[in-house]
Amino acid sequence: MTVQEVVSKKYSYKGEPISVRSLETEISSERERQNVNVGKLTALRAKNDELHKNLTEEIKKLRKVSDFFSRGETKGAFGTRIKEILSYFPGMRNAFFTKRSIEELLKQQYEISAKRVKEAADYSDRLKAAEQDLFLEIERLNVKIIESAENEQIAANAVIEFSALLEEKRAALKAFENKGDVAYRQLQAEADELNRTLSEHSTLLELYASAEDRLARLKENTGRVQETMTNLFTDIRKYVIVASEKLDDAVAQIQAVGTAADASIVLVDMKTSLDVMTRSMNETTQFVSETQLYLREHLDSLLGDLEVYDSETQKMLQVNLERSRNLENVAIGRAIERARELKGQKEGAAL
Amino acid sequence: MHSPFAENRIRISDPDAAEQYLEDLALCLEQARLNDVYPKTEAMLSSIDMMAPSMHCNLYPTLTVHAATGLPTYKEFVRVAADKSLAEAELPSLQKWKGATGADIYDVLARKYRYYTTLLHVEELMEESGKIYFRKIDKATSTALFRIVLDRISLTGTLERLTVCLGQQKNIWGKSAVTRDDMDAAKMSESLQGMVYRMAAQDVEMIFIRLGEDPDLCVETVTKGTIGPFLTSKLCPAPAFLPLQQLAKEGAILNLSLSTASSAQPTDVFNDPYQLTPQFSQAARIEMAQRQMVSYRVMTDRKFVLRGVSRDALIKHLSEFGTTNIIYEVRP
Repeated sequence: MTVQEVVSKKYSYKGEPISVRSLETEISSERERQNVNVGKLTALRAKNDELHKNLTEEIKKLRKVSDFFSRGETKGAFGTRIKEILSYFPGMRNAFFTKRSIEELLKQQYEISAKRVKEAADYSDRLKAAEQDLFLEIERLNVKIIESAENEQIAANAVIEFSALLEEKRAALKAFENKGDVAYRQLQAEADELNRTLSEHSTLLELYASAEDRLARLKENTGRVQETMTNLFTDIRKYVIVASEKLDDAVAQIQAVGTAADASIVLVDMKTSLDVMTRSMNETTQFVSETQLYLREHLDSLLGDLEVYDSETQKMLQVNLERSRNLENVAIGRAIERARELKGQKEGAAL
Repeated sequence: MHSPFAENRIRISDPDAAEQYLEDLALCLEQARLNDVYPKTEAMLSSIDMMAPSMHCNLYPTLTVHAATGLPTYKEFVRVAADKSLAEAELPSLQKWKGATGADIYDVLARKYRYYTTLLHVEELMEESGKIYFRKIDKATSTALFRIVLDRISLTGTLERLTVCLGQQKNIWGKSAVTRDDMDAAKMSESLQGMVYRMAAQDVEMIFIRLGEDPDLCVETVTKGTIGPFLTSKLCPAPAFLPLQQLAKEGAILNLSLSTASSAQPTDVFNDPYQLTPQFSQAARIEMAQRQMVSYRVMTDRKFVLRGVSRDALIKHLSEFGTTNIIYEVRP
């Protein structure tokens, strides 16, 4: 076993072997994963918009009906506005007030409100899952970053040791008097082999350093997406809990109004019931409205940043590719040089 | 805001206790052999089944029960219906967590996937609905005969079906209480639907009289089938049911009451131990008849389903009222 074989055994790298192509593929695949995560956030924004639209509509209905009752208008004073007011209740378009049961209407409205809050709760679960996905993604990237950092260290140590060995060999070669000696040739072969090995480890050093840096930047952006998800989830959870509690109160109020709901004497109770439902919907709508703004402000800038990062990654990949090509060119240049030398020596011998 | 009705609800937080309660209720309902004057058994059982922690995979921490009637609250029925309405749209996005483990939220979503999948295949749930069916046309009197069926989750905690058989003598298929839709099916006017819903909480006699006030309508029969109360030792039922609750100390008793006001009924029959007298006096009825209102007779009945309760003890209790009621037992 040669010296460099013995030394090489000391430097075993962790994980899959790395090359310019594999690094490019890996970064590209990580980038795709990040795009998927950002896509999830975009889809959640769309869901948020939909919820906001529905909830705003519901709140508008509840508020108008509640305002109407709070003015204590009597049946005779309903006038033409009553048709408009009642059209906010499900299935009540163009209906005349006294024809429908208030209890039935309150129940129908409660059922719609309950469904809306449930949708918001399901949405919050999805946010939580998306956040968890990103935590795992960061964990996975950290493993890769640490592995790259460790490999970079191994490569650096290898480069130092091999360059020292190469220096020794070169010094020994210089000391030789008879350049045609077999021992000289053997030493020279060893030096060449060392040079090749040094070149390999130097390349690895650059690749692992590049991988570590680029993965760290990917992680940083993934962290920002995760932070956005966390903020959204924290907000929606708070609102869903409050909205559910208010809705519980609403159903109790409907019970309180009960079968007497159709008598004008309980209009105040009914207004309370509607107000509670309105508050419940308000809580949820407020959340959706705030998160909508948050998403607009943050998601767009985040996507912009990711685009910048993407082009930087591309540049970095290009630079690395060029460096690798240069290294190859140097090696090839040396080989050509050596080949020419050999050719010249042979031609000289033939003459 | 503290609700004054909060104390009317019992929260069952222990999943085993909730399972046991729902199983008792479901077994009693299955044993009740209900006909079509009660809400549909399958629909009630589906809703009750889906309230069980084992069915919703512990997604909901508590089950609320109406303290006076011992049945799941309106909110619980709405919750199951809301979940079913969202299940189809939510399932595709939940698919990826189908068998997920690890983080708590993955587990929640995996459970939600299982729950929604089960729920999606449930055909019918107990929900409020009002329908009208055309029965026939009586050519002799030019009367179109209809049957109105209204299912309610009453605010007093019982599950009810109100069935009204009536005829419309004037303006058949015109702009009256009953019209027809685009498919030529019978359709209740807003006014009739509202009236029936508003009166649904009232006694059958009152419904019969009030509907009979409409000159276009000829009421034949008003029947109300009521599920509940479901008595167990933990409830605070109405005073009339307290002795019955004493019997349910070790088990459960499901009440199924039936009341009918009908013009075809020859005599009054009162076989409900808790409703042994008519709503209106005989004199009041004569007065109504004199005002050319259709006369009617009333029938009330009540049957019981027992689980872990002595049949003999119940018979003894009922003998105090002089009624002979059907009693079913859920066998262990």
